[in-house]
Amino acid sequence: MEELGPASTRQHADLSVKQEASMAGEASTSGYFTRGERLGYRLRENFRPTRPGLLHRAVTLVQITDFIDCFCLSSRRPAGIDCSGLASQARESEFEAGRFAGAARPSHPQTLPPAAMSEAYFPVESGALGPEENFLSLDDILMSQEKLPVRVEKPMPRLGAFFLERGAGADSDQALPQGTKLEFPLWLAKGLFDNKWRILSVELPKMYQEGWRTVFSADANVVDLHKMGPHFYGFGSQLLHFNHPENTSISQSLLQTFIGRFRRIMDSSQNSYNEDTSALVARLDETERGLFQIGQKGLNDFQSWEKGQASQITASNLVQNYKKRKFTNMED
Amino acid sequence: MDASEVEFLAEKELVTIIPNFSLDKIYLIGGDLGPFNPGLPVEVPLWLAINLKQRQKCRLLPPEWMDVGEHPWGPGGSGLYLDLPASSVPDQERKEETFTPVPSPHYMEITKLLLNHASDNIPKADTIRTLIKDLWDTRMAKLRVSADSFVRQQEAHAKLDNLTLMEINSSGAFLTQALNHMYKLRTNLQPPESTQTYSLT
Repeated sequence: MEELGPASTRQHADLSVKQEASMAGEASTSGYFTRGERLGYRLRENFRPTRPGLLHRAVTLVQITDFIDCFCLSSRRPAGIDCSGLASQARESEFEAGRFAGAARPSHPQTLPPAAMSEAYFPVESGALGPEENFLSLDDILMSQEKLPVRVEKPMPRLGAFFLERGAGADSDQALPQGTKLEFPLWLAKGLFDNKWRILSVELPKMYQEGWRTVFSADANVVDLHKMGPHFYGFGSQLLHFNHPENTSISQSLLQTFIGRFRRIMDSSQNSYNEDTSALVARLDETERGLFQIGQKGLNDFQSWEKGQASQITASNLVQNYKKRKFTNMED
Repeated sequence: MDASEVEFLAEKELVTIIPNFSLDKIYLIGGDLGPFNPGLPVEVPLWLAINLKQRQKCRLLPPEWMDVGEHPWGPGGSGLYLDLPASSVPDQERKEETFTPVPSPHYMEITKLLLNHASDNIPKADTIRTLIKDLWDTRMAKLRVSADSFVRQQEAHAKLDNLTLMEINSSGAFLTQALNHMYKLRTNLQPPESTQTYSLT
């Protein structure tokens, strides 16, 4: 708190009014905006970047992602365009934008870690493991991008034009016939799924089915969870919304897998100091990587204290960021 | 919490010094610090002791537990655990499965401060450093084992005696976050279909 300067207190006051508006908006219309609008909304509400170009770049990247998404729905992820790469670039631009803006107000004050007030940017944490994903969380936005095999129960008029290779082009109004198998991203499938209207029926992806569940129960440590969809736990938890008959075994399998891998993550994160951790992290999914980073942070904190770096006076993060900003302003 | 914040709390511990100046009793908010007379030992908080040592105004005496030799009372003695010399503690710690009592609730911080600033006043400083490091490693390993068994059996409640704040602080953030995730995964099925019905009328 003592590192906030006068400029940022002014930002605080301005942001507080917008804060109310954004919280109100979030509660009522979740899922209504396109994902590009959602991300732009969040960036505008939470940051005042002094380099507007960055904000535009971030929003444009995600809008490109949406555009590609709509026309790529039927292609498999590895063979099609890698949309998640663009989206994670957008995320990194957002980090840069946040850094340049200086001290920004966290969008969820109750999740603020008490010791981290020297950070310039507080990410909204993912709610994907819980009952409902967080509308404003970047991790959740990336997670809901993943594809889900789906079967269309009612014919969909005029959508056959997008999916010509599914053999639906015969009708005059190009409707998708009933029973077509497609792959939808999670956000679209969740939006269209309804018990009453029964538009879609969802099939489980391979790694949540019986075969892989047996593998996980045998030994959870050998599986490369990053390859299996980098958001294994989050996606699996959101799958439970589709009222599949195997829901209980899916949720138990998720829990047991997590428990099985916990030991290894704990040991590797708290014992590798100043080493290249890419080999250790390669087989973890995004949730586990977050945990790994927390473990590393604890270890690094302790080690730097023990070496005596904790009592050395260094320039704070925020001040260094201000300096960066001025320097690049001078460049332009 | 930062490690440096834990160290700040540890600096309130009392240690004995032998000043080489004289000063009357001083009255501070935290308590009184007795009159300082050259050559007479006096108990002061660690922060003051380190400061005086850095200004070369005192000589530090190592705490009783910071001693490598054999102790006349063995581990079976009656309630004299705080006086155990540092050399026997790592061995004892290894034998026990639970956590044994520590020499001092801030042994890591006190050791680090004393050995960094006053190693000339402490005999066998290197051996002590090694022993304390062994003790730390053993205790951290035990903490990880017990955290793992806690998670594996999905217990709801655990009780750990004789843990120091520094140990809790280093491994606490990871453990609480992991338990958070586990809780969410465990209560996945329970909430009802809640707010998410889009009616397409």
